[in-house]
Amino acid sequence: MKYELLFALANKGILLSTSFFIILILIVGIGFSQIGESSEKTLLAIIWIAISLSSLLSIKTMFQEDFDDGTLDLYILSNTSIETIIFIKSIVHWITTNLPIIILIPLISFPLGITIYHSILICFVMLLSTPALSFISTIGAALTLGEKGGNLLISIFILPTFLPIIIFGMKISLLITNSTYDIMAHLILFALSLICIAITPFITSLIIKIHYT
Amino acid sequence: MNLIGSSLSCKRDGKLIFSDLSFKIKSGDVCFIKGPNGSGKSTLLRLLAGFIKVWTGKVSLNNEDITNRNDIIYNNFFYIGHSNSLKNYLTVKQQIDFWEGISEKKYNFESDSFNLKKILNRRIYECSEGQKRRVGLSRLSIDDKKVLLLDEPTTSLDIENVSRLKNYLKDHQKKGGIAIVASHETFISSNNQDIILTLNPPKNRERDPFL
Amino acid sequence: MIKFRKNIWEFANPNNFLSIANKIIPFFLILTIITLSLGLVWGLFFTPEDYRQGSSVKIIFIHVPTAFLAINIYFMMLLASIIWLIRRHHVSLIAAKSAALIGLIMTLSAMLTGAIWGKPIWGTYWAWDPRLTSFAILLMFYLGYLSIWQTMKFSDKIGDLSSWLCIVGSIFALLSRYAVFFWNQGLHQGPSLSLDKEENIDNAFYFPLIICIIGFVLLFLTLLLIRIKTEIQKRKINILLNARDG
Repeated sequence: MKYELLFALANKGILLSTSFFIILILIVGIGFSQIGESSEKTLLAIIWIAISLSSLLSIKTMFQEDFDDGTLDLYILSNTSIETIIFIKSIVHWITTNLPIIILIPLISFPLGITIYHSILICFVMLLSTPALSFISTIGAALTLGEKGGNLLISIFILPTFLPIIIFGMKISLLITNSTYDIMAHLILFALSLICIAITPFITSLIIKIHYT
Repeated sequence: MNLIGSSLSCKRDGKLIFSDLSFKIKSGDVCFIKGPNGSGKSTLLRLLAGFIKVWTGKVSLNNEDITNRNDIIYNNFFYIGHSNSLKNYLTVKQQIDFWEGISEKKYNFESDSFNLKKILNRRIYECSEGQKRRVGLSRLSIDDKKVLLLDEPTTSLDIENVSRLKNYLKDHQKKGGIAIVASHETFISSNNQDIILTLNPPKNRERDPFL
Repeated sequence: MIKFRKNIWEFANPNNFLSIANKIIPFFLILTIITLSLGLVWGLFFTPEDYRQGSSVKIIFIHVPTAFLAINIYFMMLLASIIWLIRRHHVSLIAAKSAALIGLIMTLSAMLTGAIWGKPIWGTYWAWDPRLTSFAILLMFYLGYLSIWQTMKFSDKIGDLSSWLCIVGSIFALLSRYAVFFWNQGLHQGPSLSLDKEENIDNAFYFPLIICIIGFVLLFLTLLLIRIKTEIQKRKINILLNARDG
């Protein structure tokens, strides 16, 4: 099951989301350089916002294509539960959109004034938390299934739900750049993302089933 | 094997699509569903396939009540809808591999019921509509279930391929399977066994709660 | 007990609801006007000035009730959505839908009055204080809920979708709220009203404030009833139009 989805999704979008991320960072960087107020803090905020925006980028197509061409019917009628398929799809989505960006972050943040050691720690925090972003966005994809131009709607629904993770993520990465480490906060963040990963496939499958009644 | 539906009705978005539908299909039967557009042909098939919940009535297979029992439905029913479930960027071979992965069975290239050998390495977006339909129908012979639910299977097929489909269905009949086909034409003619089920819009519409 | 349950679910029939609503709306309207004017006049003109905050403290009589409603209307929507998902009563769904806009307006007015109050006291209209931030979060989820109704036509499917959105939204709104509170305590004073007496504000403010809150709740109920009534009538018109067209 896994390999089919991997090769199905490999055909689109890895380059797209990373280039979106790079362009977003560069544009904001150039914009801030005009005001003359670019600091580590703003850079951290931008990285987190950029990563959450780019994880919303290709989410619309996740179920929409399968819904349109009838593959989703097939999944529902197959022996594999939809929850499993949603789980696999979310992981594939994370690998194709967020993982390349996380690998890029040390390269981007090093010239902009964050030490490599710190940026690797930040990457670690992102590794813990960004899978949850992919999983949460499946809810949005399921809600707007069959809706033309649902992309805007997805961002309206889903961006607010990223808040808990973004709040913790930003705070922790700020602490990291100040060389303080709050183990408690790491644990809470990890717990949050694990809860999201555990629960969202069930919610998403319930919402997808609504479209079939 | 027999499939019996008794006084089925189905509701969608608060509206009654059809009501009081009863049928009885034995093994070896092909049942054609007829009716004007919007009379619920596709809805009936999707209801039997387990997508839509039965509003009232009962479906039973081999005298066992299977109403809303998706586990039994999955093991015995096979549904092909309007769409062919194809991914544009795959080749025909990859697409079949993908389906084989889902159903854990193999497409029989020896008999090749749908004449796909020639187009195996073509990408789906390069195929014509008829070829796409053939690829879509090839799922029939990958997954071989007892009850086939086909929604307009002859759309954009030429005469030769319609006869291939007929042959496939006849084989299926001989094996004792059931096929339920929603179609405008009965394409297995001169066979008295065929059952024809006509859907009519419900006469007594239920009162809307808002009225 | 059984009789009581039967009675309460009879409201769920749109027609029964409509006839009852028609009877009680004028009653509610009058009651709202009396309580609100009593509370506001008492609060604004017959309470002493605070020795630190001066007369600016009197905005409390609008700020606290609207904030109270903004949060509780979301809970009401959540409840109504769950009732819709479980028991499929259309009135419940319509109630959730109609309450959302009122809730949005209450949130906005709580934020606005808070800003007006904050300027003389804290010296700023807005600060990223946890309580203020959680109102910003609430605002986002109201907007999300309203936008699903804005873009799609009324149907049972959209009702299901919006109900799920409401449930998911409330989970994440709570999570975000605690995430914000985890990091700092902020400058906003503690809750103005609580059950243990010691923390409460002075008696001179207490009674008019309670009356104001009751008045605002009545105002909300009246508006909600009127909105549900129009929504039901809208659906009736739609159905009749469809029936006429075949």
